[in-house]
Amino acid sequence: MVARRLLLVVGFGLAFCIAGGLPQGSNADAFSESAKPFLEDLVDRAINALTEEGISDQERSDRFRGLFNEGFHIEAIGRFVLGRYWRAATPEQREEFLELFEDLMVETYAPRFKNYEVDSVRFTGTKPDQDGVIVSSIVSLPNSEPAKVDWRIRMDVHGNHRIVDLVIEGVSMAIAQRSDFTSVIQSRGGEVDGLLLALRDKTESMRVAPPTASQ
Amino acid sequence: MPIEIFRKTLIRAGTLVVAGMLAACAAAPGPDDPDGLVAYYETNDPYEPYNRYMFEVNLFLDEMLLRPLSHAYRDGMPEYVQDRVHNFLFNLREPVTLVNNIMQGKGERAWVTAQRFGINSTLGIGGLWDQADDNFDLPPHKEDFGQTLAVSAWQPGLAPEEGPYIVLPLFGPSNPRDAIGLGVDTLMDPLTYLLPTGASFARTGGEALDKRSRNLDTLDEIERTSVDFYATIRSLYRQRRADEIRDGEDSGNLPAPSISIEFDNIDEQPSGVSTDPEIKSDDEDKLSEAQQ
Repeated sequence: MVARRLLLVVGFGLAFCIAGGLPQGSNADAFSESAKPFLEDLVDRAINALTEEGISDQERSDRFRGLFNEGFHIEAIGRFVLGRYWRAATPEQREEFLELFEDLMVETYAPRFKNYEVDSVRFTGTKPDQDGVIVSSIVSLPNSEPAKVDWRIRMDVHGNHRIVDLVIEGVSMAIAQRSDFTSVIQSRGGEVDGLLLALRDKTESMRVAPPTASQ
Repeated sequence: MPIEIFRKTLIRAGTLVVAGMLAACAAAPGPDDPDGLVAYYETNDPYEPYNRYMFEVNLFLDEMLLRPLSHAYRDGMPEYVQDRVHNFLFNLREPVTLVNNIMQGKGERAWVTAQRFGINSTLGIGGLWDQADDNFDLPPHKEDFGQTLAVSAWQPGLAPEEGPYIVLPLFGPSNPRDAIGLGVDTLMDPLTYLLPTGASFARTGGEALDKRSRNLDTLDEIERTSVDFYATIRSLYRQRRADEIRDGEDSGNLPAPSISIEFDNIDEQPSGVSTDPEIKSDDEDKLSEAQQ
């Protein structure tokens, strides 16, 4: 048994040396193979850190913000959800938008971990995506049907895995967010500042009135 | 007075559904505004002012009636009873799902539904228990005529467009294709003819209660976290329907954020210059798809 494992390790080492000359394909393979462990690790740490008993809401939000920045590519998502208005926005508007968008995500998702049950994410497989991979999972929460959640993962310039979208039962969170933001900008005369104002109000009111958990 | 308003709205809604079918692409932006055209196809909502009005009417009715009832039902009724009710109502709908499966040419799914109906109506005691899912590995699924129209197995390539987004009175988010589907499903349901009027109303009311009580927390969360609740619901409905039509396959074809350009030097980006070719190409793909 041990000998066999040793042989395997040597085999891998050899394969690694040979493949060293052609990084393109093997890097891509390694990237998609390590996507699932990356996600498992991230989700595991998130559940542990965010469901810890006795931590304050502020502490939970801070921890979520840290993990969100680490695991997600906020700029890419921000650019996408602003749609065609990203191009029209000034650098200052873009910067402020990305900050407000991050705040909105923190206020949206951090409180949901308050009454979260552990061990309820089951990863079912990995498949290639447009320019990355999709890791599929089944997420079961108390009092609801298990939901199919696809995590769309890309490689950033540093070679790290970054999540760019969650597709829940076929519904892309990024596309839904884009519809929301685009509509707000349109109803405010096509001005990005209109959205920035609305986002400031929204996150402020969410901070004051977190969700009323009825479970 | 409220009844008069309600009656007027109903008539108006009916007219709009018909108008929508006749003029599915009213007032689309011209080719000189490609971004506007993409946004138009993404939202597909030429009757937005009417829809927003009807959305508010529905929210008001929900707040007055369905929501409090659903809260009372969910919090007051034992979960055991709620599950029996849910299974019972679901089983009543299986014949409609079966016929739609067949019309869509989905033999395997039709067979699953047929077995489910047989097993649950007998072993599951009139559908109160979902024995088919629990013991025979036959999970539940729904098909409706709106999906059948979208798939159109009998005439591939001639599937009707979904048409513009329409918020129906009471029934909520829809479009001409789904609204027709709703009507046809009712017509093809044997129970429509077998049940006395009172029982039919009870069934419809029960379905509304069952569905709403399961959505209470989800909808509250969406309202809490969205800036424009109406626009978010519109996107969720349209995406969800598209997924149901695909039977949950191929979510990899959806456009996604791309990180091929890093924005570490965000301050140095000149404004007004296109810095996101990936998103642009996504949009153009969508555009050419929409124009077919």
